[in-house]
Amino acid sequence: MLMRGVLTALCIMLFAIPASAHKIILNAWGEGDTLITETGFSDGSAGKESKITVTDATTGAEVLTGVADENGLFEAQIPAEVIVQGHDLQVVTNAGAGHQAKATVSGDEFSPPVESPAAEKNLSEQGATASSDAVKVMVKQAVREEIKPLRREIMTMADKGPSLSTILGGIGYIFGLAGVAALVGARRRHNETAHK
Amino acid sequence: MHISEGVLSVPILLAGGGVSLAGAWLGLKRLDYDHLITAATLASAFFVGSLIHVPLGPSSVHLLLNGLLGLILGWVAFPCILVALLLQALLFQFGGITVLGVNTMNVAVPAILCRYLLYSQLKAGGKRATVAGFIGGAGAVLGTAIMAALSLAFTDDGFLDTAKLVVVAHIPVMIIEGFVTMFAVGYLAKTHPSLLGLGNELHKPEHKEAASC
Repeated sequence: MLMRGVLTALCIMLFAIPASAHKIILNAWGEGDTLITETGFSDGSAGKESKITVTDATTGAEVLTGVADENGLFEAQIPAEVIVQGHDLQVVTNAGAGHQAKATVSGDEFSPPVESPAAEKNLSEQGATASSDAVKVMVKQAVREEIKPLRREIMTMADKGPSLSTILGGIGYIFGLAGVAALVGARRRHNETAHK
Repeated sequence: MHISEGVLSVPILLAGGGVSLAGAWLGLKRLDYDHLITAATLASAFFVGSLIHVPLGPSSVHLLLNGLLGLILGWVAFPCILVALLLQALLFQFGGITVLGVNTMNVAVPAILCRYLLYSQLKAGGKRATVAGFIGGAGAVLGTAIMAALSLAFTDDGFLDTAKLVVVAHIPVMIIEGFVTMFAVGYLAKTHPSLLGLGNELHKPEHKEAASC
């Protein structure tokens, strides 16, 4: 009964917890028409020269590939025709030696390039009567720039290593399993002596 | 050494899963009632060992402790490593569920191999057991690195490049684990030879005296 309970709990956990990669962390986000990815390891070091593959999450078609720089950063412009479709993009990073991670970037994070030179021209020519569209784009860009450090901070906070409670929990599981094994062993031994 | 999800091809995953299931079953058959706590303690040590990082170059490597488990537990190391890796995958997101079989195989097979190759040396006791401890600790890590490179050979940059990368990255771990295992095994061989599966030695009176020292 106990055994069955433990097995059921394990099975539920198998499906409930998303399995991701060991030590490797992939952050990916969109800025305008640019996709930015950051590959790193959970100890804080960068995933130098990781191979980045971007595919359309809906159709599975490859959008682009590339290699990250020394700091594990990678930037690429997403073609306008892909952005227009609004599909989510799947980013896979491979840092070699079996270290691979996946992330999905929502299609909403991208916006097709607006001809900002034209917008600026518009603004200077017409002064205060600038089209609200141009202002919107500029505000969006400014806000994006301002929240960049915050965004990074939130991401690093989310990537903290395992906590003490998780570690102790794992040790507890192991001894719990040993307890189950002891119980089974004891019952078997008991049955054997009972049959004799 | 944890290989991530989605890197390996299905045949390799299935092969790893099969080997690990068989190994764990064999190990469980040999797990006797009296050694449960030893096995659980070592499984916990293995589980936590992966959190001890040795910073090195572009990335960092962590302790494995599979040599220690293999030398002390023999086949029982298989289910211990399986459980510890499963918990690491679930709690720490190291490795993953689909690659659990391959990772278990890569870690456990060299560990058990070391036990078989070094058993006679361990039995000899004294200096020879100590040296066997070092070789076992370092050799098991080397074996795991080579097995990981082998499993990546079909999907990554090719065997030789990956093997070089993985083996070089694990050299410091090999040295550290060699010493850790050497001291642990050397001490156990002197004081508790029964823990090393050298049980028959325990009945000799001189070893009983050694145990009381």
